[in-house]
Amino acid sequence: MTRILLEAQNLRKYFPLGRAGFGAANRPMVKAVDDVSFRLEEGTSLGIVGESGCGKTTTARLLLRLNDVSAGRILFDGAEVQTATGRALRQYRNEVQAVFQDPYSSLNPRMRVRNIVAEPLIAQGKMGRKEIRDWVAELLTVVGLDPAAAGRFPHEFSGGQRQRIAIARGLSLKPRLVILDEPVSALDVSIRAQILNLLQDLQDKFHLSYVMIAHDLDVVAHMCDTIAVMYLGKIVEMGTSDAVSRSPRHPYTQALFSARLPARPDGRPPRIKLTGEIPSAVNPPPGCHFHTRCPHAMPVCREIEPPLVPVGDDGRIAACHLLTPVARRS
Amino acid sequence: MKQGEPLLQVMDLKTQILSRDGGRVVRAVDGVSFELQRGETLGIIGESGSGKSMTAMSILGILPEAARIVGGQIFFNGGNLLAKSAEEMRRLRGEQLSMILQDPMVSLDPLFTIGSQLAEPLRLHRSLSGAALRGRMTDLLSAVSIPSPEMRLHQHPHQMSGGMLQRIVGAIAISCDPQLLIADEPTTALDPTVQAQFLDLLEQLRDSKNLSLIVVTHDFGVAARLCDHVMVMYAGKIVEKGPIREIFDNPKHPYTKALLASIPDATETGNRRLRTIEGQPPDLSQLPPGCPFAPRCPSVVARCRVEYPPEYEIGPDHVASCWQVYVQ
Repeated sequence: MTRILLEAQNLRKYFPLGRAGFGAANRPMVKAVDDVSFRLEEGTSLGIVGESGCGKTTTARLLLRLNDVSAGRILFDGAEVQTATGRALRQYRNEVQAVFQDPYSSLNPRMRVRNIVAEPLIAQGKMGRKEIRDWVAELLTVVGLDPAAAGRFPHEFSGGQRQRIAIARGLSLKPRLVILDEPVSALDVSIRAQILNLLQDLQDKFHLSYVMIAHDLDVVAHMCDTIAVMYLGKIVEMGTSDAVSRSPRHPYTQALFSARLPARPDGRPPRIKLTGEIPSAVNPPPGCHFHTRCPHAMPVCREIEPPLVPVGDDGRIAACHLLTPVARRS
Repeated sequence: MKQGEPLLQVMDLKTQILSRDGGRVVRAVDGVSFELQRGETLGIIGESGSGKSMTAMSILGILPEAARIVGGQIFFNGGNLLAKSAEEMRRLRGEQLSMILQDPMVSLDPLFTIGSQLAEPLRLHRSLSGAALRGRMTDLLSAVSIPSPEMRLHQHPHQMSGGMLQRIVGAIAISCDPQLLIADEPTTALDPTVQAQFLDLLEQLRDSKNLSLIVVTHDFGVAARLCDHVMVMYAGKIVEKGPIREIFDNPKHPYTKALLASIPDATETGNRRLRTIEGQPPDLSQLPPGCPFAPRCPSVVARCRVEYPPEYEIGPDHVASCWQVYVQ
């Protein structure tokens, strides 16, 4: 029986626009994350994909408690995260770590690698100096760096090596969950493969769970067990990686997958051409948010928002009127 | 296949960058030669530091101050670009030679309207003004599928999305009917569905305007989508070049093979490990003797560390520089 490590229940994050003050109650809201729910089993990976503005990074920030949720709950190991304070919150922050996109801006250029990796340990205050030094050396070895490099500064390393440093720091507190926000999109192709393999090895070695945010479908499908596709703050389709990438059901997922550029001149499935761009999350279109670009939009799509319901028998869910029997009849 | 004179001919191009203290010389482009036929699309593929962008900038004559061309020749339309004065090059750029860079937020000036930025090359190179200028500008915006062009002319860059801005950059690039368009990572800053739209647009412009295109990219997918021929660069050198299909189906250089094998593919199932290229790209100011890929190459032989391999012909138009290819 696998256990659920992380659960998001109806997460919402609305950002008010404009200035606070008189009449502020009616301010327009950006619905960055709008009713997002998912579960993550311990030791597995969830990938969240979508284009800019879909709310994937905001979701990650909510999970890290860098932003407070507007509504909904986050449960980690069964315990409420949003209301955690003091000791419980510190505990959560030990167990959940993050690796960000750009290893050039996520590492302090004035700190030596040794101190970058040790900083969470020093802040935690549980280890002695010698213990910390040994653990840092071990971490650097684990991520494929020479422990002798611990005295150097970030600028002396290449992008791929810096991302290894960021990963070592992320692992220093022995977390159970690591949030990976576009961990390889700033890296070169040949380096990207090294880091993806490293992340897989570490997952096996430390029994880690990952939430991976990325816009690159191939990377997410390669790394993750489950994929959630987001569009304008909502999950439009979620299922196992294999199922979603082999037979996407939601028209947006289909379009997204058909816009992939596989590295072969042939073997490209006919592309579903979307017109226009992602509408603003301030005034999302009524009904299904995707209807303005959807090649299959029906009248009902403009009025009624489709619910996220099970489709097929592979445990997949999707939100589209085409996939619900009720709308097809009407 | 080859008819007449190529539009662009680059011969043994060498571009170097001097470090700030003048002590180190970075060989960014190290003996690059290729030809581009009229109407052809050539892809330059490489990772950061491979010299792909420096090759493009050398052709356009827009090298950064510390960089200079130290050898080779570039012929465009029969004329030697390296013999032209700065003024002559300036006239050529925007008129016959044109470019699209990676990030539209950087290529466009945030303080000026779209209209004034689109008008600049038309005033300069075509001496258009008044109604003729306006007409030409709305035509151009329509050509890159910008809805309600009249309104857009009065807007500033911040009022538009990234995909739309890149279309505007495209409109500026084709405004004077150039013969050669160089696009350096034109879609890297765009979202996947928007990237697909922009690549469609490039293809359509190329075909309708009879453009020759050089696409500089790190993404094999982009090259596969657009190019007739590609060349793969590593450490300032072309390691392999050939027709796109040949490069994908029959790669010969170990670097090309490894790069292709390291790309994850969503349609493949099962949890397989990606093939990696161990190690890091070399420091271009301290290149090892012989082949610069040798320290990372899975099939390295003793000779690779001593002598740089010459180009071997593998098939029609398909060449690779590798001693292993020679052995085979």
